[in-house]
Amino acid sequence: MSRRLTTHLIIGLALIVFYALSYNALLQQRREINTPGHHASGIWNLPPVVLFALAGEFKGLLADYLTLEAGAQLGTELVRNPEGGFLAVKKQHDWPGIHRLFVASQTLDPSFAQTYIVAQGWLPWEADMVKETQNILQVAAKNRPWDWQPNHTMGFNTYYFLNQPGEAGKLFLEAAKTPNAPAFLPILGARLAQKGGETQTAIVIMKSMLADKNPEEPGYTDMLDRLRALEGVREIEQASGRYEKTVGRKPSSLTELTASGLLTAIPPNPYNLDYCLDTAGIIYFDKPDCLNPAPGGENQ
Amino acid sequence: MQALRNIWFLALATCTEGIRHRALWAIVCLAALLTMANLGVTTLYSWDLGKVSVEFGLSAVAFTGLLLVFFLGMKILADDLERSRIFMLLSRPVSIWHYLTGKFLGLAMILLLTTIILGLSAALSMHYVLWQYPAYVPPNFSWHTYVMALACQWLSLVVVLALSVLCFSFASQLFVALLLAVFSYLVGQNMELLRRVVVENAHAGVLTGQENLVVALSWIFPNLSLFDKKYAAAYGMAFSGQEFALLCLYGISYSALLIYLATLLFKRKELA
Amino acid sequence: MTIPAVEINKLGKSFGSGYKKNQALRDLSLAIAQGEVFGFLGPNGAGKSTTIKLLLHFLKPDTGTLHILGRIVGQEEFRHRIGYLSELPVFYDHLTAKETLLLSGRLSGMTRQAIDRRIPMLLERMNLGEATNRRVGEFSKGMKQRLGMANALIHDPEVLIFDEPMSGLDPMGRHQIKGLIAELKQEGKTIFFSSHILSDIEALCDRIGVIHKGVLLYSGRLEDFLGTGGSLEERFVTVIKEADHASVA
Repeated sequence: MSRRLTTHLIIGLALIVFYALSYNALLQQRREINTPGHHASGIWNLPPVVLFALAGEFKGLLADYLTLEAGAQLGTELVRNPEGGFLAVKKQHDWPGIHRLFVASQTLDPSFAQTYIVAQGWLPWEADMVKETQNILQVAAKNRPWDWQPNHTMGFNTYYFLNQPGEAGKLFLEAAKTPNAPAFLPILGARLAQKGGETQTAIVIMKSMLADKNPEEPGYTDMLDRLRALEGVREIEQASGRYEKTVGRKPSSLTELTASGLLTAIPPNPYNLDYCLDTAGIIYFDKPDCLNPAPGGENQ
Repeated sequence: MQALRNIWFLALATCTEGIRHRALWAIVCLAALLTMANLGVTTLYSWDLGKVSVEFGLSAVAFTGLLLVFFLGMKILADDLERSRIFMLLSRPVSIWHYLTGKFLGLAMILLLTTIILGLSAALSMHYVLWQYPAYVPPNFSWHTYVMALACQWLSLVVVLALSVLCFSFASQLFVALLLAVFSYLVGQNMELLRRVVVENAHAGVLTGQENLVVALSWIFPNLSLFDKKYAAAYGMAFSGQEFALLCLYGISYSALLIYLATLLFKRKELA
Repeated sequence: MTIPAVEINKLGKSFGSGYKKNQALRDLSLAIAQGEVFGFLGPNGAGKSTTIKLLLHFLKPDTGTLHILGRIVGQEEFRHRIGYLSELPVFYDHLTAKETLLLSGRLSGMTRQAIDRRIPMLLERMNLGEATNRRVGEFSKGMKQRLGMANALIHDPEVLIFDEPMSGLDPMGRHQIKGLIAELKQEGKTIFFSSHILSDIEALCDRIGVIHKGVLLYSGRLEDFLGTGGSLEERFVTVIKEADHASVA
């Protein structure tokens, strides 16, 4: 081997070794001090206007990246098992930071489904950030008029986390207006709305939906039955209200209500069940034994 | 008539020269690889795969186009001056406006060619993704909207090219012209945002109360965000033929005005 | 009386401003008759190329007027009647020799048929026949110079303006260009060329102009410049030195 080649080889090898040692030492030092990494800071912390300006015509691409970044910060972390392989351990999540990622992504692309779906999967459950999730879902609903899921998910959160069945019902009914929405939505929405004291609202929404529907369409009859049931409930609610004004207390039963003359007759129930008035004054169209509920909770 | 012929011959020569430039094909090959990488990128997502695919493809076209305008286009113009190649042309019965218009059209033709190539490349990868994951295709997705969005992308690049030619016509150095062109592009992309911030916001920093100034600026700088139809193509939100026609008119009229101004400024330049 | 091919009257041009101002040309006047070969000589930086660029309207004069075949430079079109060869011809590297000449011919208003007839003839004449379809970027310096000559002649102009046509050529190349200029002279072309290769000036020119620091020191017949004896080089150096002494005084 010529002298020149040997010299080049030695120099090259020395440089490679120097580089490898330096980089390895750097990585080692970062592991030891457990650097929080880049999670703490990023362009998602910039004000929305600035983010918008920076993204220029690549807003969608940047939104995709930010959602991916959020996904990367969620989930479990893999650490080396001293005995070999990896262990999945729960991460310490920076929830405000992750929330900012979702908001930033949505600022740039308010229609991106992955943003709201992943946000829903984590924020209300793990971070107790229900209101923040609802805001994200609201933006998604506004910007995805073809998608029933944002409103439906908002309805779910309102019912499950915020315990507001009336509002949840309204949201389900809103979701039901979306083309190609599942047939169960208006039914479920109407029930929850009625349960939450929003019977009149539920009736109005269902009537408007039925007006746009073809009687031959599947689900039409179910919706009509639910509307009739709600109308029956409304009639009884109105009579109950008049009774409370006159007598000074809620009626204790439907029999008392009809006997007072304020309700001439119990309206027909399309489900062929008795209406039931419970101690709290809530009227049920599908729970004839509402005063003595059977174990196992509500049906439908 | 000879004027139009001169412009056409110059455009053709510029286009031929650009097409045979190795740098052009390096950029195009890289961009084509990027659009094929679309396939891999899309699999990183679980929802709205169609939108990710469409947006990635169109963004690759936009990014490549900008590289071509700022680096290849301005280099071709600068080389003409720096290497005195322009004298070969101006010693013929060719006026400054023939020269600039011909150069501009030639570069616009190069941009059109690359937009078509990259648009097709992106469409291929998109087609595969949309076929593979039909459940995640936006309900109103249409190839017609995609093609219109691609055309708008090209128009946007043509306007940026006209801006670059204008900057080149008065800047003394290529680097200065490039900086000015990039700055104008960034302002143009955010013109609509700036206008909204000032008009709708009581606290807009130094621009508070300066609506007239901002509106004036929005007429001077190009409103490039109007040409950005990636979002529409990604979510299948069709835009009307009327809007498309008006965009074309806006792009053509603004570019024509810029080239005219560039001609006036270039005439005052000492070429030697 | 025929119109002069080239007429320059009291031409003045400066670059820069203030204390950096450089007076490149001062009150320059000369005329070249049709069919004449006029040699324009001077040291480096004398103003030869500036004069040519002003003639071609690449630069605008501060003072004075220029006429080519009776047409006012900068106001009337004359470029279809002139052919120009720059000192270092630069072309589009990715066009072939044929495409380059095609472009030039078309820009000069020639028909396709006329161009197609002239291209092979000119390329053969310039010994570039085998390089017709080669890209100009692959040409040597001498080949580019010869292509530049073909480019200047493609539209068969009446007046030819060459800026240092023999610059950078090897002896074979110089011999060929000299032969070509002699042929063009026989054809009745007017040739205005700048050079500082004095032997070429002696061999080819009818009349000469001597310029130094922007001032025309002599314009007239070569024999009259040479006077009673001595070479062109000796006479040239003497004139330049006298001008330098005069300016110092």
